[in-house]
Amino acid sequence: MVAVELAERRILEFIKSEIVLDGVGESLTPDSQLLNGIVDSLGLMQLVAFLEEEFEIEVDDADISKEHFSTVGDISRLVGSKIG
Amino acid sequence: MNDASAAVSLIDTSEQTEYYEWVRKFALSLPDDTRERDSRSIFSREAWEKCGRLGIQGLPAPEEYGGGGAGVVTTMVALEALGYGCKDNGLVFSINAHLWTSVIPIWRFGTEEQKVRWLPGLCSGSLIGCHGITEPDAGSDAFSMKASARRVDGGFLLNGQKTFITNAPVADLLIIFARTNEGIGPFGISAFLVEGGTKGCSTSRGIDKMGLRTSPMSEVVLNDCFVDESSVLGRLGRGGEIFQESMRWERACIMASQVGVMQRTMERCIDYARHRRQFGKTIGQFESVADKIANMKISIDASRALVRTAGTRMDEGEEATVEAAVAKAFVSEAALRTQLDAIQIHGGYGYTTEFELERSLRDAVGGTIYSGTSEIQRRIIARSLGL
Repeated sequence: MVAVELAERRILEFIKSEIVLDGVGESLTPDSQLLNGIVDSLGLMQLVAFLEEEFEIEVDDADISKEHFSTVGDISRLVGSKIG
Repeated sequence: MNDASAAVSLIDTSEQTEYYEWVRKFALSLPDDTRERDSRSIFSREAWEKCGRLGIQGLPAPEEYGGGGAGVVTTMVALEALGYGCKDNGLVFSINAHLWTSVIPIWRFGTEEQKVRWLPGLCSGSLIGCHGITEPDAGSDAFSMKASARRVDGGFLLNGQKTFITNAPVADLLIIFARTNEGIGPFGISAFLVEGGTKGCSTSRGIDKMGLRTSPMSEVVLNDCFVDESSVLGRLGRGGEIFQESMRWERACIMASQVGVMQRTMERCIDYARHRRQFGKTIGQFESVADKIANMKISIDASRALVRTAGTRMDEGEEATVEAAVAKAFVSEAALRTQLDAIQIHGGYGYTTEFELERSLRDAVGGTIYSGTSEIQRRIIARSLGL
């Protein structure tokens, strides 16, 4: 659980600082819908590369789905399942 | 100014200046038959192979695989010299396409076996490569592609249609991008190495173009084309990353050749303006003509600086995505203005095919479209600015 919370914080920080538009990042929460224009295709590639490097995990082809990448919360749970 | 070596002396090492001169002299020695081939859209395999023997097609690849082991800036220097000396802009474009869509992806993402199998031939020019991304309904929005790769016993079956594929009619190797699962955005797309002539992979009609007519282009049709497991390039579902890497190199480097073309055009304009006399004086003495040439000089110097900035960043290990986008947008548009002004300076003569300036204008139009349109480059730039 702690791992998921830590992951959530780091992922949120990364998206706010590296991916989202100025202004949008301020209101971003773990439940914000990322795939509705907040994270574009380039951002998604940056995000997956970040996850693999930061958490030393391998994100498989099948993992990259709406189920696992719609919100920061979803992504954190995916990361948690891989490092847990 | 008429000494082309002066074109690079300000920011290159003496080695790079020598290399520029070497490639420039080679390029100037290539057969001067482009006008005739352009009129019939004929690719010169002979000139391609000559470039291969010089090592152009493998410049940045590691020497252990037959490449030149050159850094990005050195590669740009060679491509600028080639663009300057080789009047066949279509051939230079085909070489660029081959480098960025085949050599780079295999070098950066290939297994040792794939590198050993493909790179020596691609680097020597004995093999020609291309990649298949674009589809009839997926252009700038490349990741909306529909081509599929369905897993079957021992490999994959590729199905779909690709279009605007440079080099496809003459390709020995095609890197085909297709969906292996639904994924989201660029994910779920995989890259496959497909040998030319593989059953189920065919090129359809050649595509007749406004410019770059000596660079062959066609559609590629995939109809239950079987490739085995060892044909997957990079990680399954991660073809988007390969495409991005290709585009990063292509956008940064492809305009180096255009800088050379602009330099060649400017020198022709200077020569013409010094000798063509109207109203009792050379036309270069008219401000309206001189200003156009001065603007060419500004465009060339700025273009070279932008291209080399992207190259330097890449040599330093940075992605240089934004620098490449800036260079691509600026140089392609500057090249178009330069070629249009060159025709205006030459008047009626410039409008004839005999003077070969109209061909360079037609060739330059493509620059604002291929490798991501100017609009896409500005989107990348704007995104980096938080817009």
